[in-house]
Amino acid sequence: MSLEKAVEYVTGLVGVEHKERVEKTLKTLIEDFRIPEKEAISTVLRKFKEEGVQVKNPAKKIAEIDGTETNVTIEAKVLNIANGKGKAKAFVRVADETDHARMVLTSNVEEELEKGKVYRFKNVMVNEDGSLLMTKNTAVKELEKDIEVKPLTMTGAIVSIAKNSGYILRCPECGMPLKGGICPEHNLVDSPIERLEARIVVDNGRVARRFTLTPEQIEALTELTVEEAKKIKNKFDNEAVRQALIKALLGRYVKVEYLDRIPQAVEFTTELPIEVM
Amino acid sequence: MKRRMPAKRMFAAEIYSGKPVNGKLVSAAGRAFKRVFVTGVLVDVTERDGVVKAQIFDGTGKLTVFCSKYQPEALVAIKSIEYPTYVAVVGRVSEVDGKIFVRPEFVNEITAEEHTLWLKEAIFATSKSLKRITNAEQAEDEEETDEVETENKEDKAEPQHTEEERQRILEAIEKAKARLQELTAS
Repeated sequence: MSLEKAVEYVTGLVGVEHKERVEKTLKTLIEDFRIPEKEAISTVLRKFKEEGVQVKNPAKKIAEIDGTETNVTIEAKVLNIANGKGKAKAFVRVADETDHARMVLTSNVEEELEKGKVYRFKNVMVNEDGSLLMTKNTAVKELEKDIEVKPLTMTGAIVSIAKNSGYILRCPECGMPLKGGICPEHNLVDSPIERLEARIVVDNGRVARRFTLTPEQIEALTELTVEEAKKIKNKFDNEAVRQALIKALLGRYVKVEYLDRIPQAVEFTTELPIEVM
Repeated sequence: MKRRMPAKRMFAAEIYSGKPVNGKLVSAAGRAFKRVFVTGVLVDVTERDGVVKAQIFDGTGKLTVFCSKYQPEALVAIKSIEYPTYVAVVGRVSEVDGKIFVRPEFVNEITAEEHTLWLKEAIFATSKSLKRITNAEQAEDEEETDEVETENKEDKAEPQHTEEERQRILEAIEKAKARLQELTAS
């Protein structure tokens, strides 16, 4: 970040009236004393705060976090919480409409976060790699609103279609798949739910993820519908339908947008997120 | 929870350079692999004693896959595909008595366009691995190696791979790039 940008950034937070002083102080710190921009900015901001100047703390979008700031305020939903050891009390995945981020909670954090809730995290520290650190100095406020979280994306080839994919009958009462036409709990079923199901593995050479496609997604990708499947399927098993799915999908490249392992959008793609030559 | 092995994009030259190291197969480009994803032209299918042998030209070289009764789906699929045609193979690689065998889990017909996508991926992945391993070796040559450390490092098994094998992989990358240009130009 250049001196100019640093000045712009700080002035934006403390007010234009302080611009001259900001510029002078930052110039001295950064150019004369060779203090890194990030440190210089936070020093100046702290000074202003001490003097009682209103320093704006705008909530940033996660995608906007570029590593130039030492701490930020964000509004994000907690997607997942994993327990840690020792100083790292927990590893949390948070996301907003623009991006996802990993957040580590230090052991002296007292608040309990809940998966699925939206919070305003004030004063979260930003690490060099873009991950976040929540300390006891971070103020957490639960928000009433809901955020539509940006889905993750994966582009890869379909390398497997699970054996239990195909034309599946399920019990209308409990949703369990029927075995031999019979629900394990409710026995003979009159009008079972008929669905086309596909559990696929999308693989990009570095990671392989399993996804369960919805009937709508299957139809969009393969043009197979339940009616078509009934024609193909033979009396006893599903294999013929599964083979039809394999023929339509296997080895083909798809781009999947997903959240919580549930695919929101799947489409065939001819673009790979890599640069060759 | 164990993670599923990702299917590595590899050219035939690299697959056949695989040598066992600590129970894993490692290629001359330094990649450990067990599951591979290959695309190319299915050029021949023969059957003998219940084993079906299929030859696939992946754009840089020939890959032979074997299906027995233990790969029933792939067996049926291969026998039913009319060749020559582009196919995609997801296969498992094993080593028996110094020979590398590829056994498909899935085989399916694909389009020429999908094959070019695969070429891109394979060029990228193979180049990256080669670069990583040559950089690592350069770095080692420049440092003073600690005698004690060397004994502990199991991947000092690099001497198993010959310069020729690595060269073949490099050539495969060049062939693939040329092919990619040809196919995307038309």
